[in-house]
Amino acid sequence: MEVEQIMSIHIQDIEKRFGGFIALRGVDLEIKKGELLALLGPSGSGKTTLLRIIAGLEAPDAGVLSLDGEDAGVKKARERGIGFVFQHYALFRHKTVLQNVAFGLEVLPWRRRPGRNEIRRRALDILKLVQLDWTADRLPSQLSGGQRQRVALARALVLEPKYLLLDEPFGALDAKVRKELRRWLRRLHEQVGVTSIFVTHDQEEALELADRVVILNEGRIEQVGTPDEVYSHPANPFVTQFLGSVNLFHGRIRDGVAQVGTWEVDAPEHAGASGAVFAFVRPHEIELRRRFIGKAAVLAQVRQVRSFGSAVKLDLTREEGDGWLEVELSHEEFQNLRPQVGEWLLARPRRFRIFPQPSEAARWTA
Amino acid sequence: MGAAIGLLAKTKEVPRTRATTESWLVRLALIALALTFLFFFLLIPLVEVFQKAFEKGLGAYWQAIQDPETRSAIRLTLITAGIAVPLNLFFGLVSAWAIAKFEFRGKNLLITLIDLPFSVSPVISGMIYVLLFGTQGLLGPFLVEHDIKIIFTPVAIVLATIFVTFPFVSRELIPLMQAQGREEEEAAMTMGAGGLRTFFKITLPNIKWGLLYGVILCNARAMGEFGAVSVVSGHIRGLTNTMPLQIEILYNEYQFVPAFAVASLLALLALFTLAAKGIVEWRSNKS
Amino acid sequence: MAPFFRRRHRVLPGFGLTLGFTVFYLSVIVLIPLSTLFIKTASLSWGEFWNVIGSARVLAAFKLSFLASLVAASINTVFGLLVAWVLVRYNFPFKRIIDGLVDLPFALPTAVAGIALTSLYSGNGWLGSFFESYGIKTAYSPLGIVIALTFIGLPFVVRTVQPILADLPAENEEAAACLGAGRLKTFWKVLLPELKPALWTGFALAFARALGEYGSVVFISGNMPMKTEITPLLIMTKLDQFDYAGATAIAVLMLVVSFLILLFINLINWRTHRILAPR
Repeated sequence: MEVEQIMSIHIQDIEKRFGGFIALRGVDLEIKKGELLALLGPSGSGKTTLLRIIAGLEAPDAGVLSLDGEDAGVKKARERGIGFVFQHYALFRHKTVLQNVAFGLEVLPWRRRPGRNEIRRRALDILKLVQLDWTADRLPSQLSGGQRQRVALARALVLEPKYLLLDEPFGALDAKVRKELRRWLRRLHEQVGVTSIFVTHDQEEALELADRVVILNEGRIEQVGTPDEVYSHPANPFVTQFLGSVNLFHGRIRDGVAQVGTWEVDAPEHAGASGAVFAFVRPHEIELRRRFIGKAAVLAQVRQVRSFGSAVKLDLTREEGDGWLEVELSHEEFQNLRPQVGEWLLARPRRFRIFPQPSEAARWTA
Repeated sequence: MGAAIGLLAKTKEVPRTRATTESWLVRLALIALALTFLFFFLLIPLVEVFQKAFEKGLGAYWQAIQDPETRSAIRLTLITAGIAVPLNLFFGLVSAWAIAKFEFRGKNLLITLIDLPFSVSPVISGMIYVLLFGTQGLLGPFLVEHDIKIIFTPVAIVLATIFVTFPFVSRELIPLMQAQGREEEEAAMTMGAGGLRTFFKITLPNIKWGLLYGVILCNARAMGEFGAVSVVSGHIRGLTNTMPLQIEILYNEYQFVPAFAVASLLALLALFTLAAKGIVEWRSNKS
Repeated sequence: MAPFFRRRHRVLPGFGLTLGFTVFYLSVIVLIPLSTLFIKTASLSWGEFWNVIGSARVLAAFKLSFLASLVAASINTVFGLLVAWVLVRYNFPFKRIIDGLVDLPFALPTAVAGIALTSLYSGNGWLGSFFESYGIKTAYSPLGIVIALTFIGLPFVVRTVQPILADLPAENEEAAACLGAGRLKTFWKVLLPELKPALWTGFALAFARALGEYGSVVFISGNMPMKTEITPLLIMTKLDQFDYAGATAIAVLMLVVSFLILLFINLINWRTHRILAPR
């Protein structure tokens, strides 16, 4: 019973195909009340389809969707109590900002519809919440992209929805506005507390903004977890590679110990596996030295040094095998080492993420 | 006035999802209502033409078309279209070149003036020639003095037809050529091609479907024009009657089978025009 | 002041020649003949002009033309929207052919349409006899004129609304659905405002065409003065009686009305453009 209380949306085995294209192949997901959830994935991963199915804009071919413990399969979009924000805003361009926001109230059945003044007051209140009450009498075409997106959000919030769904909410905006709106949405979510799901293909956006992140790929969920969980403990090679840069090493595993080059890495979680493995190392998890005493390392030559922001990025070529090595140093580490382009250095990963290589290996390394 | 809307709506299918379509009952009702309307206002009149034409059998139909006056009306219609369409085709090409490929002041005014015949009632279109060339007209005294007759002769019919079909070709070509810009032509010129060569090798292939479309519409109107021609023709049998005028005379004399027989020829032309139009649109969408 | 045609280097040839021919041909075919109308009008005094326009028969013809055109254009606006909607949104057999057939009134010579409709709706035609059995006279009555004008104006609204309807983003309707609007409310509050400019344009085009229409109406109207005589026919009658002054007065008034309608259409386009321009 208690589970029902915190579970707001329950998705079970949802499938959807469009003609020959399979958008979702059996998706299970539970969404908690009041959380801010990101659906993250590359294009074609099915994230938007999943969002549209929750909204009732699309009907699943199979599976169960329940909202607050009720089967939503029979409910139409307008009966679900959702607010939907479209990527391209979908504002009614012949209506003023205020009329756009008031729309949801205007179309209520007359018994539940508030009076004219009440509609106006509530619409203005929501506009104040998104800090756009001063644009009330303008047309959408007179607003900037970021302002339009906030109007779209206000319009979705006016009916006090139980769920707020946002489809690539910042996708059509430029980088600076996007950052501002992101922070602003986070604050708004804390203020309003409505269960919110947003779709994005930008991993930074998902990790910065969401309470939990759902990573989708080719119609399947690859992993669900907090930003820290999915970033630090990716469940598989796809997630590892999708969330930020990563260096790839090849190795073999036997009896829970992986042999990667000259390193031996304990991987008790793969005790039963044997054969080829991938070993992933993030750029900031590599140590660079001129010499290591008593520790195995690989030799690599510095090709390029890029210094901007909080870290210094180095591109190196490995001596053995082919391929690049991407290393991230703090400015302090960089000052201590002062590596020169063309110089040979020793590199040593601090930690590996080991994944047994699936037979369709090419898929991940491509 | 059909071409006033330009190249026909390129209908694109919008994928409809559950939330944005109607229940099948509503859909069915709307389709039924729309088709009923079209059935009564389009199909039935069309069927009526052919049904009446063949009411007395194929022999009567054939006889009606063989009638000498009818044959001369058909001949005059073909001659009229044969003069009006090429002239307006040439004008369409020339004006579209000037308007689409160059910038000059008064361009919008020129386009508006070219469109003018579309917004003039056919009767007025004929009437202005009467005011110009009629015995009491502006040039009347001069024409009488030199014993030149224009009104109530085939010349007036051709003139009135040119007037009413005047904008068809340029109307289609101007937006088309404007959209295509002049880069291709300029590229050809810099490679040493001459003006005419550039036109025939570069411009013409780009606009061929629009051109054909305009010519088809122009021809249909040229052969079918009634009001304007009626004013200037004088209805002299065997001499200044075009097919539509012949239909009027036959119908008013209660010769229904011959009237509808001639009408059926024009209706066939209309069907051919629609079919050709469909094919041209389909081809130009494809390329 | 800058010269009318600024001399400048042009890469493409033939500007002077093609523009010269365009203006020449336009003048000979359109401008000079049309100007006779205004020269003739100028020779009329106001008194003569009002004598013609103010006569009972002319007023009756104008009233009939206006009302019949208004009714026909209104019918076409409602059904044109319906036909456009069905053609864009739904699938059904022979849709392509039916879509093509919508242009029939543009392609079918007006005289052919005229006799076909008259034959159908006259007392012994199969639709006319049907209506007559209920005591409704269709042909040779104002109703017949409305029927003919509806026929010739049919494609205008369909063809102006169709592309707009097809280009409307589905997102707008989805947004309305999410906000609780049913299909009917979505249509009234979201779709109709978007379609309004196209509907008005189509209506105005159909109305203008109907006002000037002659061929398809003369057969079905019966042409009784004061009852079923339309304005273009009155011009025709005056010309037959060599009353050029009378014909000119009526024609000029009709031209002014057409001009106002054109202005109206441009105003709609300008306004729509202004609302949507800085997108």
